[in-house]
Amino acid sequence: MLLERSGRKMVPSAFDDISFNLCTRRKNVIMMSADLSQYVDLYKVTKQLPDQYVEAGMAEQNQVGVAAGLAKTGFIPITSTFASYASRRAFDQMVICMGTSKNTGICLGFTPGISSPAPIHHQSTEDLGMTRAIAHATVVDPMDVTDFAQALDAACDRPGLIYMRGHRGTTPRWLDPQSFKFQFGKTYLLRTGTGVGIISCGHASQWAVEASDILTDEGFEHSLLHVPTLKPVNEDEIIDFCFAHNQIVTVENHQISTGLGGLIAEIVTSIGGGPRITRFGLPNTWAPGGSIKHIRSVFGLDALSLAERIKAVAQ
Amino acid sequence: MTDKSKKRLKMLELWAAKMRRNVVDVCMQRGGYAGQGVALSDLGACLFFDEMRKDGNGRYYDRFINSNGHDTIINFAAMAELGVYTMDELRTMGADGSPIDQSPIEGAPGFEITSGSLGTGVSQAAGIALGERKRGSDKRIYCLLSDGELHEGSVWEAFMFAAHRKLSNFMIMIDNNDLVSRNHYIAGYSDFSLIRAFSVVKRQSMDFVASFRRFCQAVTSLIIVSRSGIRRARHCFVRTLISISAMFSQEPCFGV
Repeated sequence: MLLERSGRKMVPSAFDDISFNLCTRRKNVIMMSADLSQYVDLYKVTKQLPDQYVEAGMAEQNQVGVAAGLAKTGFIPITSTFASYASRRAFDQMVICMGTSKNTGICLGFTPGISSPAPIHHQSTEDLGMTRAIAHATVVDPMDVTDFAQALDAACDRPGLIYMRGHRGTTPRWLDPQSFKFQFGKTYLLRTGTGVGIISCGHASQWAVEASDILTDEGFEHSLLHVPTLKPVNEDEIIDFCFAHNQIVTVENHQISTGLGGLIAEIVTSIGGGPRITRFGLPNTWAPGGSIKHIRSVFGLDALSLAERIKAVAQ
Repeated sequence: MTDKSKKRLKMLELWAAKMRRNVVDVCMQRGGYAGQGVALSDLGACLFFDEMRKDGNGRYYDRFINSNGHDTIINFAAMAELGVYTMDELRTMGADGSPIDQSPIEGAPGFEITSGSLGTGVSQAAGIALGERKRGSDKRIYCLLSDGELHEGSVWEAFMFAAHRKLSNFMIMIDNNDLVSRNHYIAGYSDFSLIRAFSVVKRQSMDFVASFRRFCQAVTSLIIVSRSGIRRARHCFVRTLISISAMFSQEPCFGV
């Protein structure tokens, strides 16, 4: 399902097409924005399908509350803003207005983790942990355009709160839309091998694939598991993968506690006697501002550093 | 006042008295928000037994969103009369293992939202009003909140949103009792600031104005009539009820 290196493409303004396509097919979907529509590539829906677009203004709490109200009249609301605001400013509304409801309510968080150039306030490196703690919520961190589009479509049929990290701007298509079929909770084996088992989600799955390409070229034995759904996750698949390896490395665009690394550790320790788990991400620190290339290199998350760190784990 | 109006007011007075009786009955078991219940029973009686329209199948056509969880005792008191809850059920309120929550969760019979987190109900009610309008429905959405909830910033976000979208099917009522739990009331708003938040709303649709005028008159009359009723509530009593819609319909704000 992982495209060959030559087949991997960058898709410009991907969310514009994804949202337009979704709203064209599903007339009860309402796209919402908190004054950031053009920063998450919402153009066509706003202009061509104005009945399916609601601008909530620079008011994230109101956006989620209004969305929950729209859901109570039979619509499927999809709120959009940056992940930092979605999680930190509207957390209460996500829990109380959407989380306690059986109606579908989808909150998209764009520029998640370190994928924003503005430090701390625009970066959300704790949103997965926060939303993962909400009872009955669904939390998805897609890796590229393929699983983002499929997960968003599937979310429209799922009851309750769905928090999903988004991809904006020109984003990669690395998963083959023909062979990849998104299901909530399912994990996806992108590289099969022995040795070190790498588990990743979201943007970090792109980084893991980059490192994996290097490791593959060097003949270093490893496997790579992409886990787009952090909640609810298929624990059996995680357990099977982890116990088939002596060493597990998790890579995430998030703090290493409460996110993917924390999730994998929780699952493995519930069995006992499992492999050692090394977590790569942000180790209880703020990220600097700057290009994502720069920030990744600061934390040893660039392809070369990541490959070296994974090899070091095996020694 | 015509005989018909007098009769209608008498009926509402009776409903309000029954609601107060239910409130006191429930709160005598192991406490509860008796003050709010007693104070708002007049409003509740007008809403449940006069103002809100039925759909012909025993359900309400219009929708009532009670943003303040502490005030939902009036929903229970009315629903006991409507047969949604029995008084025996409601008397278990606050007991361990009771299915009746003082501040109910969405999905409990008769409750559309989880109203425990203050100030979050207005946005949801605005969303419902917008959704109903998008569906082409003429349902009216009534939202009750307390003046204490005006401390929560998100209600102002919701006010501005409702004004911007010109939600003329949406009525907000604010229980202006000047009370919060510790009596440290921050009167950081004024009628003027409320009007400013709603400055885009020009006028309601005419039938809503007529209906609303009727509603205001009924509540005003009831509150005046019932002043000699129970006055020693736990910590709350209606002093004024401001309706933002009333301001924009250039109706006089009413109070006692």
